[in-house]
Amino acid sequence: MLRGVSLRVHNGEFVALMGPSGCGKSTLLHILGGLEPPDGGVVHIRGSNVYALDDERRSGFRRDHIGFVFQSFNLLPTLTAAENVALPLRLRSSAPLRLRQRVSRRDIQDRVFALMDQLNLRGLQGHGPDEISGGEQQRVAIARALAAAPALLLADEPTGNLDWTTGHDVMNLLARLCHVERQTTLLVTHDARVAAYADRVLVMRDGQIVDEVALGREKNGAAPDPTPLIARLSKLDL
Amino acid sequence: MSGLWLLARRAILARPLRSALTAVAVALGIAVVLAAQIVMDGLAAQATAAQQTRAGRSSLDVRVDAGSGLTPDQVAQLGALPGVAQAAPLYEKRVAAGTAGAGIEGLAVTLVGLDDGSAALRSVTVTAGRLPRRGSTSELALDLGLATALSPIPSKPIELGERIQLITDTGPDVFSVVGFTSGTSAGPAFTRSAVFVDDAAMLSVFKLGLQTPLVALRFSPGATTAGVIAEVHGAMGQTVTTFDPRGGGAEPLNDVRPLLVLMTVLAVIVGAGVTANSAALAASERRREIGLLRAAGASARQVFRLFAAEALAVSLAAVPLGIGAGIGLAAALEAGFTPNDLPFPTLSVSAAEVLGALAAGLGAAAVGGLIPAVGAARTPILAALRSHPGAERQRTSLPLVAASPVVLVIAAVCFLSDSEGLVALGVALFLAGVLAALPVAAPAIARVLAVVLSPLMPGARAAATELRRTRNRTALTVAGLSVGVAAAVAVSSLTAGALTASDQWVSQLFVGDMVIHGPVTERDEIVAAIQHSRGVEHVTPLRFFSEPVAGAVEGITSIDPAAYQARGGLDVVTPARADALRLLEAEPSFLVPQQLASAAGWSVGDQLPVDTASGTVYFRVAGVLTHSFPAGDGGESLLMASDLARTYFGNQAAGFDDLVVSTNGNAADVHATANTYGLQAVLVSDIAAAARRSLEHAIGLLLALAIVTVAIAMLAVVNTLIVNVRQGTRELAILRAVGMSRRQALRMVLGEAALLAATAILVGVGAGCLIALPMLRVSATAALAPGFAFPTGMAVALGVVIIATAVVAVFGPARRAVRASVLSALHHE
Repeated sequence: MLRGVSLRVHNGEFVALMGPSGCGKSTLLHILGGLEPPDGGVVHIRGSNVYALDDERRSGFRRDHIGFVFQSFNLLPTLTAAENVALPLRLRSSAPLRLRQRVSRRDIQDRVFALMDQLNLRGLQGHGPDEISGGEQQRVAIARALAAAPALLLADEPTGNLDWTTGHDVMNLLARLCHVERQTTLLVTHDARVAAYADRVLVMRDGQIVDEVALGREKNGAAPDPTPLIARLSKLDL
Repeated sequence: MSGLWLLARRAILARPLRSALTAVAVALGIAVVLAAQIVMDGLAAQATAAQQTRAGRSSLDVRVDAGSGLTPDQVAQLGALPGVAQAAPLYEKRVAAGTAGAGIEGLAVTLVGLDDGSAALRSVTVTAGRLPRRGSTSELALDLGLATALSPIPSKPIELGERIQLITDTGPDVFSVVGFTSGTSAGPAFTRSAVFVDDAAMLSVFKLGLQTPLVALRFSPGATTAGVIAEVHGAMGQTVTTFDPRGGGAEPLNDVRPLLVLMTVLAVIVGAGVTANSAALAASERRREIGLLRAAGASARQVFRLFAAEALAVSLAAVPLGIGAGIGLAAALEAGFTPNDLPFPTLSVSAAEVLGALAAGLGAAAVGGLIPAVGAARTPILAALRSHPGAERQRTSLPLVAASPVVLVIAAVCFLSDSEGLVALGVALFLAGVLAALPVAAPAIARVLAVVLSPLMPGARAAATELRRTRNRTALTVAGLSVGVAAAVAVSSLTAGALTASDQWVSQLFVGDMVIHGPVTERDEIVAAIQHSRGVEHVTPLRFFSEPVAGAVEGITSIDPAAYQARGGLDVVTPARADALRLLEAEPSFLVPQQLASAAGWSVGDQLPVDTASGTVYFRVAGVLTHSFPAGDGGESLLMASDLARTYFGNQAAGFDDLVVSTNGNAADVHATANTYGLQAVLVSDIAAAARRSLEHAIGLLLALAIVTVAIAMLAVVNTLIVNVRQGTRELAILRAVGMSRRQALRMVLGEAALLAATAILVGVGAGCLIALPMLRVSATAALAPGFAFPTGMAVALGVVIIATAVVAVFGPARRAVRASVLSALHHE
């Protein structure tokens, strides 16, 4: 349960949500993503009140403005990597008429190939999810989340199923997207080493944001030093 | 839709076996509807064609059964009625026939007049020679059966060109045999083999005592049957009866048509259930995919369209197979179940039948597929994203289960009704009530079965727990199979009951083991001769005729009451059988079949006015019996004592038509004796077998459709079991990790399959027996009132086949699952 949470994320900002299990960080992420209506309060994304929209329009809003990355990748096993990436764009094409936005096959293909190139997935377009590694699967999932050029990227424990090296690659990628592409990102994690990649860390406990930590950016692609964050967290007695 | 089609296509291709099984179920649903239509339409068309052949050019028959029939003035009056183009009288006379020079004695034959080669507008089929020439008074044609009966040498039938003698108004006259005809197919007026002469002879040398029991009317263009009937009764009042000889062509299947339709509907519903089961399994397996799609921005409507598209695509893929299978099934059903008295129908498929089958099959599949699609669309996104299908515990829909007893009570009330419609509604409600209870009842039954079977099946209790965990899936799977089994059991019970009733009917009517038939009414002297022949212990003659009783013409069978008193037979409802038979012998009285008694409102002791040779005589109703001999008009005849029949009806009741013989066990001797007199002997058991075959032709069709329904339901069982194995792979790995052997794991999976099938069989057999009772009651006719008989053979056969199929179907996937590496299986999700 969330209590009195108020949060503003700026365009291009990389924010991490931390806290112990059950503190409400995933709930907050789901509410922000339009997946779980709050009992009270509002969520504004790019000026739109998300929960003022009906389910059909909220789905469309989610498709066009929000990208999700999950801990368990959640790639569709029956689609290839490229088809998984293209999914939001295909959904846009097959939406009901009043909400439909035509995207040509060529535009979809160009966008998918560009994204996969950008995420270092070239050559994996035709591979199924079970034919690529966990890190590659997560990068495909990130590419899918970015396919519709969302205003907000929401990542729920994106490195939870990855080893440290692969997880570092994924976090570097997310950080680069924020810093270079100005992709607004909100990340949920319980790992301080992962949260250290963010510009700002919000700490939650018992459904409330109890602390906020601003972090500096590493420019050289090395893993950021989580020590200051860990020290700050230890003071909170989480 | 292109994006969704891609997903739908991939999902179908990713599960080829499941998709194929679903397509086969839809195809069989289409096939059953198509086959049922083809068979019903084909047989009805054949019956109609046969009836129209028998009707010839007659549009309406006008009959008078009393006296000498219609007068020439009445015939002329009928011919002048509006809408009547021609009135063709049928001239009949009973005369003695024999070989030339035999004197005035001979065989009593029915003489029928021909007008331009037809009798009462019906063509007479010539098998050899020709018909008598127009205007001839010296030629005749014989039905083949008489060729032997009239010959002085039984082994040498009369041949073309031979001369035989008929008693004319002036004494014995010799006629030349110019042709042979094929039996009495010419119309309702002829009850036995006939001798045909030209009308010129009938109206001259046979004029005395000539009868005109029937006038066939040919309509003018535009005239309607109802209109002409009104004109006939307007002109002649109620002294005549009218009969449409072309009507009633669909009679052979009319009795079972409602049940055929019910069975077809059940097959389609079970087919829809398989689609629903398959779509529900897909939605269950792909819950996380649904969550992902929703998170990625797919609307609920898009998720619905995705699953609907899959169901639609699989259903459409089934269309060619369904049409092909339907035509094949129809051919098989027509080959196996065409009644003996109809020609084998040509397989004919109309566009309307195909479209009807597609509409029903695809419509049901669409409904079956759309319900889970709606559920999939409504799946909460977060619950779907967290879903672990293999570990999911399904909850019961309480409103659904709570509705079950209410629906069952309403069904029970409907069962008490005498209305066929209400009982049919009751059957539907009963099945719905049982199905609604299945999410609770099926796991409970499986649990009980598991407890009982656990000494034989060590993994049975674990399997029952698994079935309870996936209770909704178990219920949906059991539902289709239960309905199929229930239908098969109910129809089998109906069949068994009808066959038993049929056997009893035959055995009660014939107090002997053989029956001797003659082509014509035979002389009494032959009775005595046969009585004293080799191999015969006792004979009982039967004579069939009709007379006006209480204002209506009724069929009468004269019997020897003493023979029935001594040898059993006849199931007298009231009063005591011995009293009824004693009264029958003592005074003018009838034993009345129950059907006729209730229709006419007659009860024991009532006095019925009967037109006899000596005026109106009042006959008492001596008793009511369950069944009597056929009356020839679809009903049953009155029984009276043969001695009294001769007293009151004279020659009309003399002689015998059938002779019931008790033999000393040597049927060959009796056959030989019968042949000596140009008669034919048949075993009573053969008559019973023929009656059984006649019933089996009609009810067997139902049983065939019920078995196809079970086959359709089995596809859902296989689907579910395969998914259960797939989703249980991880749990199997955990069990193996803690020490379960592969053999034990395999046994557990196979046990689950057997338990699921056994549960469905138990529910189906129970439900089938319960719906059979009201079905038997309302399907009982006055002619046949079958009692309940548990179809042990069918129940055992279904049990063995279904359990074996389930175990065999799941064996492959189960073996793969238990052979998989424990570690890789533990990662399986």
